[in-house]
Amino acid sequence: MKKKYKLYIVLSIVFTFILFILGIGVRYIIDPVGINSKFDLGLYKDVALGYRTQKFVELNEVKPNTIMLGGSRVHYLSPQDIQKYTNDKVYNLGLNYSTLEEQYYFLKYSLEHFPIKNVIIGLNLYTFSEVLEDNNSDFDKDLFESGFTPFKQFKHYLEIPLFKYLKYVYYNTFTEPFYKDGAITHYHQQIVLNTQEDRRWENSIEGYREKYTDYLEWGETNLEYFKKMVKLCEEYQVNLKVFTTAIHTSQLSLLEEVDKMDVYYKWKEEIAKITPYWDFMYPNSVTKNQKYYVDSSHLKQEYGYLYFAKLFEDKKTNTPKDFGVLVTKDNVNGYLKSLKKNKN
Amino acid sequence: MLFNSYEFLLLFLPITFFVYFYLNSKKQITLSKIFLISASLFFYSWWNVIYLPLILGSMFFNFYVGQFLGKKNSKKMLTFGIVGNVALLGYFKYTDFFIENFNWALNKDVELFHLALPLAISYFTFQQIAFLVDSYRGETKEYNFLNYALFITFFPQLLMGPIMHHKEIIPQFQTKWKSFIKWENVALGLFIFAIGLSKKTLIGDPLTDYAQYAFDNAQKLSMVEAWYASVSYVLSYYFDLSGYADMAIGIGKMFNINIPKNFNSPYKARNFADYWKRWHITLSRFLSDYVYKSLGGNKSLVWVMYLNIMITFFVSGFWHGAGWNFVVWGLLNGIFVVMAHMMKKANLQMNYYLAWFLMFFGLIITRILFVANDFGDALYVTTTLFDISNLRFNDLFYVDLYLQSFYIVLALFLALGCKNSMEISENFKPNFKYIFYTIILLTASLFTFSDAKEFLYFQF
Repeated sequence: MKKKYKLYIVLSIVFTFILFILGIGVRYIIDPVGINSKFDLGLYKDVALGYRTQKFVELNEVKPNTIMLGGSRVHYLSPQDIQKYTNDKVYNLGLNYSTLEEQYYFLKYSLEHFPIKNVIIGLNLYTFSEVLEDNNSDFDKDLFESGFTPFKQFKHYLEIPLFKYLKYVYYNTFTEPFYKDGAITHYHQQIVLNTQEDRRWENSIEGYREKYTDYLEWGETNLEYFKKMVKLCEEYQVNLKVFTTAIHTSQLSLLEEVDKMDVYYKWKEEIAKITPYWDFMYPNSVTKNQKYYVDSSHLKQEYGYLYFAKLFEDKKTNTPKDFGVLVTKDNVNGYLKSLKKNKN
Repeated sequence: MLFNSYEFLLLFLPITFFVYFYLNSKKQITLSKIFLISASLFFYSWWNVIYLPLILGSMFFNFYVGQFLGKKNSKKMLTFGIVGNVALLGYFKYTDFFIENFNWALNKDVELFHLALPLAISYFTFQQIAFLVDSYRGETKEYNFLNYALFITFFPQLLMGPIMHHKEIIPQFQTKWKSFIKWENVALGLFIFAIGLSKKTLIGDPLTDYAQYAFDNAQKLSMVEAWYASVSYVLSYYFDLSGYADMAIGIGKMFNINIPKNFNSPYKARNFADYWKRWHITLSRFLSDYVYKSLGGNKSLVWVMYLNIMITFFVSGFWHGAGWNFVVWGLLNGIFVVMAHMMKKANLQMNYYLAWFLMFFGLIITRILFVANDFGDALYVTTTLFDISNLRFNDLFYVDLYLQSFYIVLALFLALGCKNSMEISENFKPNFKYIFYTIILLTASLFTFSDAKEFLYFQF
């Protein structure tokens, strides 16, 4: 009798493991995020399911000379708009819902491992908040130390939400990503771009209303990460360009509505003390016009060139004159005064 | 550490199991107990070690107060012990609640503490208060500290119960034969664990996902969405909590420890009095023994009995969470239980199906109160259930019509039309049928760990 119980235990455990390993194998073959690209099953690779991991792997393959850092607003931009100025390998390291801590580690790793010449950072006010909402990302600091080890690969395939992926792939009607060469992903494409425009706007406004109300508080923690990023760029003697992302003015109205304009001004002032930057986050002919936007937060990729024409002082490209102000520690006070005055 | 995590299943559980029984086989009984306590504390500290001194301090405090009470039944010492426990729980769980109400009542602006609730504090506080009261009543035996510490920390029940009673657990750790591996218990434990794990991960978690997403957007729900979200939450709570209890019972069994049953097909009940005899049984037992009976129970006038029921449910509501919605939830449950008693006393019988329907509807209403972010959301969702003007069948953004409907039907079928896990396990035999069931349930569950949800009661 005792033997039967032992047999039950052994067989249950052994066969569970065999099926489990087989399941991992299937996941490896399907490869939803496109990490190994060994088998082509004709399914779309959805990097959104493992942004940070995928970015890390791809970064190591590309070995860029220029990197773009930031959140989803940078993620939406096209590296080709920069490549025409830098004439080298540009990689978009914009990460949806990214934190400055994540950006710092990606920057540090890139500087330590690749011949980086240019770093372009797109700043978002919210990421400087002291009380960030958990972004539930797959960010793993250990990746930067030990790399994408076999154990981490195993964990990656195990943790990938396969059914969620298959569900979106199954219903997919796109044959190509909407934004070629940009960082917009298939998953995001389905969720964000496939939604009706008015609903998309409403969602982004509601989302940011909650964010600004509950999670936007001034603090030094994330500012410190930004200082460290600037310092790193100085140490490695790279050409650093910083800009604030051009959110639609409805977002600025939100800041007023939730009484957080003081944080907005304080942020602009503190950034200027650290490094000069191009400010686009204020009412101007681009930010007042909905046609330039995917939703209230994200500029469409096809207008991303407007940023870079300013950043790289490209006089040949036509850009609205009131779009972009170079802010330095010397002019910041006067600039903020004029911003406040124009608001009133 | 979560039961539904790879680190638990592939490392912690097998290592703890084999080392514990290895030490016992070498007659290192004391060492094996010390090991099991240490492993349990490691399990407890997995996320955050800062509360380890808290549980240790609480254990020492209660053990020595209990020892004192065992020798000399001093009411002052009992009061001191209970106040100590309640103060600890109150500080971590209710400080901000009282400050918020103080600020609101007196229009003040005292800053909140924003204290994180130490894991399992509500559970081990209850267990230890029971221990003190029983020590005072002279109902405890001469326990040594190791057995007492095992009673509190034994990892399967540590985080979310079932709320064990010292009388049913400590003697088991003192029983010699339980120190050796019993393969029949290990096999049965594995089978019960597989059922619990699959209940939680394959049914509870997906339903929680759907319901949570809808309740996060409560004010946007239409009538159909409100029904889907509320029913999903009612079902997910059962599968999540009873799944956890099954896992705890299963693991306990592997260690030859019988952990009391915590759920007995509660949704098959036809009134709230019956429901509370089947739902979270060990909590109901605690509240009955240490609150309801202390108030006089049903020994006085019938109206006093009803009042005692209401007070007991008030305590239950407050125990479940520091918010007025929990208090109202408790009181509403109390009212429903009182109504069931009144009907029984008046010998009123209701149609079987009508009685079940009303009971289930009561569950929906009370669950909405329990899970809603605030009263506004709870009121909106409840009224939307009947708001015909908000009835639409297109643009259902908070419902997954096919999959969610499938999960709801499956969960209802399992909860209402099938035997529960304890009944199923009574027929367990180590044959190929059960091997097949175990393999399927375990394998399917293993692939859900990446989306592992914390058990719903973790912050209670």
